[in-house]
Amino acid sequence: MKKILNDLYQHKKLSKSMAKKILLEIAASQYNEAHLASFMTVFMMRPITVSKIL
Amino acid sequence: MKKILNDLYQHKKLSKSQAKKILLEIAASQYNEAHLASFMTVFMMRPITVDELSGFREALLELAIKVDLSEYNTIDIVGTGGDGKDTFNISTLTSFIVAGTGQKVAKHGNYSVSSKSGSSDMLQSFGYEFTNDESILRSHLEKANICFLHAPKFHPAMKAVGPTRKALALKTFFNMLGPLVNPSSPQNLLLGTFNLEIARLYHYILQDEKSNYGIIHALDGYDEISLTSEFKVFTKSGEELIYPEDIGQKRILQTDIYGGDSVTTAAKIFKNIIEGKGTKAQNNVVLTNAAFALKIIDANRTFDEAFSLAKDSLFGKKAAQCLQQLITNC
Repeated sequence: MKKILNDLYQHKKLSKSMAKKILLEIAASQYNEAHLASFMTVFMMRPITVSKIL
Repeated sequence: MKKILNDLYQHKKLSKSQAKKILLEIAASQYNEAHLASFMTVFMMRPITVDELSGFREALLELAIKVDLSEYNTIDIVGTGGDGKDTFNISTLTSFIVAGTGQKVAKHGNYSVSSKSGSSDMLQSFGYEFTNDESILRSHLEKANICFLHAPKFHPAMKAVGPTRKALALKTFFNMLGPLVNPSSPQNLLLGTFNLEIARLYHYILQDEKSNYGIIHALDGYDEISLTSEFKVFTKSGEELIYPEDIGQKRILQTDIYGGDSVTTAAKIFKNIIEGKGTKAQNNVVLTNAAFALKIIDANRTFDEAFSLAKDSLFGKKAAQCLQQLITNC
């Protein structure tokens, strides 16, 4: 997660498959609360892309 | 907090007083971990402004356990850390060399965030006991010319963000604040930063203050003068780009100043250097940093004069005596 967050802080985008993979991991409770809050904040700071929603 | 966060998500900026107020509230544990993590993330998604950093700094200084060492003309030599370079403890060694010249040093430090060993790790490994007792710190300054201010002893407010920072385990704006919040407000500062952006922020903040300062960033990433590349120096009189060759130094390799992968290894290198038995490259790096520190205190000194004062302190075992005095008197 740290690597993904660091990439996102640099305004990199997630691919559709990456986004899916991360959400599956989140659903499996693999991340702590701080990382989740930070991950969600990223998408409040910039628009989400189509490939992530689909 | 929700209102503030919503504003920040729209890329609005905080004023200095807003930033200060929020940090005071954070220190009073008024927010939950999710809000704290979200707040810290905002400043990873966009650069922090001078007003914001300055407001956060004011809050931390206001909440700090302060020590009054103002009758001494002290210097602090400290870096942000986080340069990911795993060097030996250059700023700590520099501090003892400067102390060995007779100059008083009030060093602010902490355990390491990124490299294997911070100044607190180092001093603790030598048997030093952290204290925030002003009379003990004063006696250290008298006997050893140096006292050590272990950040967690002076910044209880930071406890409120400890768990969130630990859970995130990422570099947040709190990592930029350390060098700016020495609780004894020294008259002189030699600060290092892990990037140029922070060096500029520091420069803008310190410009308005009375203290003498130098801010260092080596262009290949170090938060101190590494002699591995050219480095930027910001002072009251402006900014300069200095090449090692400009100050009569040879360019050295990154491996020359590697500090090993454990506190034990770093401590061994430290002891070796302070006893005057370091390699030429190791010695030149600490002596150059010490020379810049001495030049900040007295701008009329030439680099060569400052460098020979530093040499006399290191090779005349005066720096080593300061370390010995500090440890035996704690």
